[in-house]
Amino acid sequence: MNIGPIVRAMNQNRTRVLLIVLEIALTLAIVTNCVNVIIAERERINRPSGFDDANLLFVRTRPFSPEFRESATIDVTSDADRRSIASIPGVKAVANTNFMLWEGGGSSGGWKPVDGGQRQVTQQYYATTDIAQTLGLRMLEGRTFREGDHGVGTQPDPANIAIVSKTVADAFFPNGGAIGKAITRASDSGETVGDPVTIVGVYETFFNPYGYNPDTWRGVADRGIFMPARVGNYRTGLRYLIRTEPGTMTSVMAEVEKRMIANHAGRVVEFEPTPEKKARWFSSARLTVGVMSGLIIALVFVTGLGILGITALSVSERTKQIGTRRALGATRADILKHFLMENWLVTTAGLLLGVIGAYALNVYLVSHVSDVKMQWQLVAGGMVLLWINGLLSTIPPALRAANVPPSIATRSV
Amino acid sequence: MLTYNLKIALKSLRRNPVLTALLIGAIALGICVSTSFVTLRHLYTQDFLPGKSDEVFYVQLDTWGAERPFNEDRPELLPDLMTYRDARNLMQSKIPVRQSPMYITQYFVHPDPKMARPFQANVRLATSDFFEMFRLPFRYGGPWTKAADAKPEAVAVIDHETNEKVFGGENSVGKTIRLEERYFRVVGVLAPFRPALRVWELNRNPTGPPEPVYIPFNFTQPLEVPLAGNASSWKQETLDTYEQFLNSEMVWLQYWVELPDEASQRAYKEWLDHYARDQKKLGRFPRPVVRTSLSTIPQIIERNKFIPESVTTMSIVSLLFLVVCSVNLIGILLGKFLARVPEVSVRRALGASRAQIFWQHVVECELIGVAGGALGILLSLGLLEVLAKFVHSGEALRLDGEMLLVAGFLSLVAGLVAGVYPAWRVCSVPPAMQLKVQ
Amino acid sequence: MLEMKNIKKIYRTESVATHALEDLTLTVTAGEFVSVTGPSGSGKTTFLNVAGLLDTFDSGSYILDGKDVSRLSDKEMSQMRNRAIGFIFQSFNLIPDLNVFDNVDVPLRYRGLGAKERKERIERALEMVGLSARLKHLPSQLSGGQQQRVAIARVLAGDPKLILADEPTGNLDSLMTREIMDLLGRINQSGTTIVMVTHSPECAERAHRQLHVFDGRVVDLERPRVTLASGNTSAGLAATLR
Repeated sequence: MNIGPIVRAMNQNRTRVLLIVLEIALTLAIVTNCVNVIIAERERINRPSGFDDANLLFVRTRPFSPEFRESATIDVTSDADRRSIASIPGVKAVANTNFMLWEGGGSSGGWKPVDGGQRQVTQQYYATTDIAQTLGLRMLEGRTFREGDHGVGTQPDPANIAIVSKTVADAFFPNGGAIGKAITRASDSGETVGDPVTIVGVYETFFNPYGYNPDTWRGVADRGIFMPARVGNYRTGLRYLIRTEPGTMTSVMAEVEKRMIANHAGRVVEFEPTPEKKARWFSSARLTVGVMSGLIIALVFVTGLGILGITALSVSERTKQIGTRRALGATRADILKHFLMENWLVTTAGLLLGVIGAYALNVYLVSHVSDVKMQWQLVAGGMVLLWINGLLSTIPPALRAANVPPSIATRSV
Repeated sequence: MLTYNLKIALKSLRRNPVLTALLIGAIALGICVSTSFVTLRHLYTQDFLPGKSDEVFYVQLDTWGAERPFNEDRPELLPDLMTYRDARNLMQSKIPVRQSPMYITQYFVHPDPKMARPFQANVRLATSDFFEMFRLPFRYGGPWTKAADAKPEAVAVIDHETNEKVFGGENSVGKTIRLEERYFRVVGVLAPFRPALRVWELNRNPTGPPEPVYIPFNFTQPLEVPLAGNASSWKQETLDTYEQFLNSEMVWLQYWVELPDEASQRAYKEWLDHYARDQKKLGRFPRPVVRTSLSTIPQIIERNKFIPESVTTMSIVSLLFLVVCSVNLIGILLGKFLARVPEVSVRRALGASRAQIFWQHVVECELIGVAGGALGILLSLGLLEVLAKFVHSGEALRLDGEMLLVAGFLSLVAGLVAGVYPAWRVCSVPPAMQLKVQ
Repeated sequence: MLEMKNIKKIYRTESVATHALEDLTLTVTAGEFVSVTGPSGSGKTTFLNVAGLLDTFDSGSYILDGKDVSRLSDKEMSQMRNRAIGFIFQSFNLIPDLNVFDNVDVPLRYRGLGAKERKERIERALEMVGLSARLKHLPSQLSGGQQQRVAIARVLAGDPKLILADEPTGNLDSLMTREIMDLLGRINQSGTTIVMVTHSPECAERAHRQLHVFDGRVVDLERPRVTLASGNTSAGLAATLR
């Protein structure tokens, strides 16, 4: 409609227009970059680990009885503990392992195929028979561990076999056929160390943050090898992972402690539900998501208030003019449309500038802080959001303008 | 004149309370958010050892293998920890006024069975110099003696919480505490103490709490103290006995020295380089270039990128947020002031100078800035409470004097930035025009 | 053209009810040039507001151009103002942010005319008031008389049947006043009805019929030209009322 005169009239109020344009541009730049960070953090938080994190319970027993200095005690207690835990209602599976997920650390080492090939670093853990069922690993090929793979009775010698994640299998055997092949530990300089280990199973996903910068550290976070063994000693104690039926974790915890102390009282039992560990691991990511979300809401709100305030002032400043327009035949709807159109133009100008701002801020953040590239869909979404925001915050003052009576025109100042 | 300006400003602000509340609210939000995140960032950038953060140094030696550097991604970095052999040798130097190798073990503490069940605790092994070097505060007693270091004597320093648990909070100096099978005499009890960063432990979980128990470093060998921490090596060595472990190329110790002046710093660095060259002659230190390094705490924080990316991002975004709030303010104030042109023209006609009109309006903006700032600081106390839960920094995340100054400064600047242009506009409209229009 | 019967208009505040118009009855026929005088607070402006559909009334009936005004919706009133009526205000009421061309354009935009027709009408109207050379000027760059001529051009461009003028010369000096009055006279001669509220006896004199509002009622001064010119009793009455 009256775009020409509106634009020419805005030219007479350049500062006010510029300020709104600037404010909207900054808001778009900040909002899109915040959403960008939120999306990246949420992706990090929601990255599948390959484990049934929600239902895993981590149990650490710390011995103070000197009997645990004997490896026979360790083995017997490990077997007894697993037997008595497995029969608790609500327990799906249990394993004795040195794998402590979502702590940012663990055990890793260099490996290479026996038939030659590049040395690669991967996380490596020991666990008893039911580790795949306990973690909820999805097997792609081969088998999991069998009873006795980790040694029988007080006999600690395990079989030299391993199940590996698809990432590990692909790293060593890019052409497939990892099952039945042997790998071996390798020193820094590539020398073979220890006995060869035969791959008997390949599972789909492994993700456990590891090392100094746990999300990127030399690609180790998504590689995992499990070998059969009962693990524990006097110093570290015996550790277990228990997979529970949903909703039974609390009741299982109480029963596990009772039965473990019954098996051997010379130790302390500590529990850590994996959901809590995972939440703690991601606490700073969740903080970022929360804060950024809050900032977006506050920012959109403040910008809305700003537009509302400036429009309201411009309405009260132009009361006489509005009355005159009404006297000259403008309907209420005409006045409403006039203000909406005016703000739509300003908002759009701000958004166009904001697109540049959004990319500029992103370039700055990428080069100085994080490495999350801006996506155009976000910018488009941000524009729609701010368009709506601009419209909504213009409506109250525009309605007030529409209600200015035409008789204002004849009133002397 | 100022009181008159204040009076006019207050009156003007009261005339439109809703608008005034909006303006103050917007500034308060901006100040709250930006202050909180600048404070959060300040956690990591503050001066942890005021007065001597450039006198305490972390010692590193490049003992790594010939094949590849310690960190392939960042070859400029030296091994982050030290071998036991080197630590023992470094202790021979008389140059540092204080020095300590250190590491953590985990021991069971056995309290009187009537008091509590046994519990596992982190125990730091260090020298008596450690406590003064990092200024740990004592409630009772103090560090052990140099003589206790040398022998070593079975003495221990415990923290406030352990003292509560084991001794019910009384002055336990002189009493004994059982760690595993052995009894240690308590010589000092720390005061409650929770720094944002354990600056002496920048390798592993630096934001964790200080250790509950400390015993002399020289117990390492006689007690065969197991390490609770990272040990890594470039070399394949047989490590069946503790003796073999101590003599291996395994790096697992931290080493700190205090060098109070430039002369001693230069002397120590020379001594260190000399030591490294000697070791290379003896067939150790196989890397092509022998390197040693002394780093201050801020240097390590910078190098290890301790400041989480998200904190930096949030600081930037929150400052931009404040800018938006200010721009917002400019717009509204501009409208508000220009609507007042007729009133100003009357004041001008009655003899108010342009400067007086200008200051009158700046005072009004500053009132908004100060009120918004005060409210923002109050709000940020709440936000910091929430943030503290996420960053696990305990009591350390709070507004100190410095941060209050920053907040006050930010709010004054915000008020000024927002106010100067509108005030200038309103005072520079020529009076003639004001009489003519309408 | 305009027929008011027993119009009442009461302004109410919390404590006081002011009777602005009291039983006002008046008829203006097409082609007339009527002036309305009266002391301050007599209800002149209220009369003009009601007549121009800028304000509503509380009772009575008002037929404008054959339409019963009390039955019109807000939107229909707006259209009526836009098409049938042209306003000339004391303080011109030009829109300060718009240039001369855009100001004259305002009512035409609301009428929804095409760009070409609007341009023709605007240029013709500005030519009639002698301001063709100042299309791009802002109101603040014009003198008072020029501003009022722009306002009159705004009326002419709309080609209304009725012009309502509220103290059109109140803010102008005598030279300008004569110029504007001449212009209004010419417009009236071309067939447009004019109702003009004024303070100035000289201006009132230019009308065919002079009305006087007193206490919300209209007093029709018979044969005003004669009585005012000769200064007889009617004029004396007007003087005492003032």
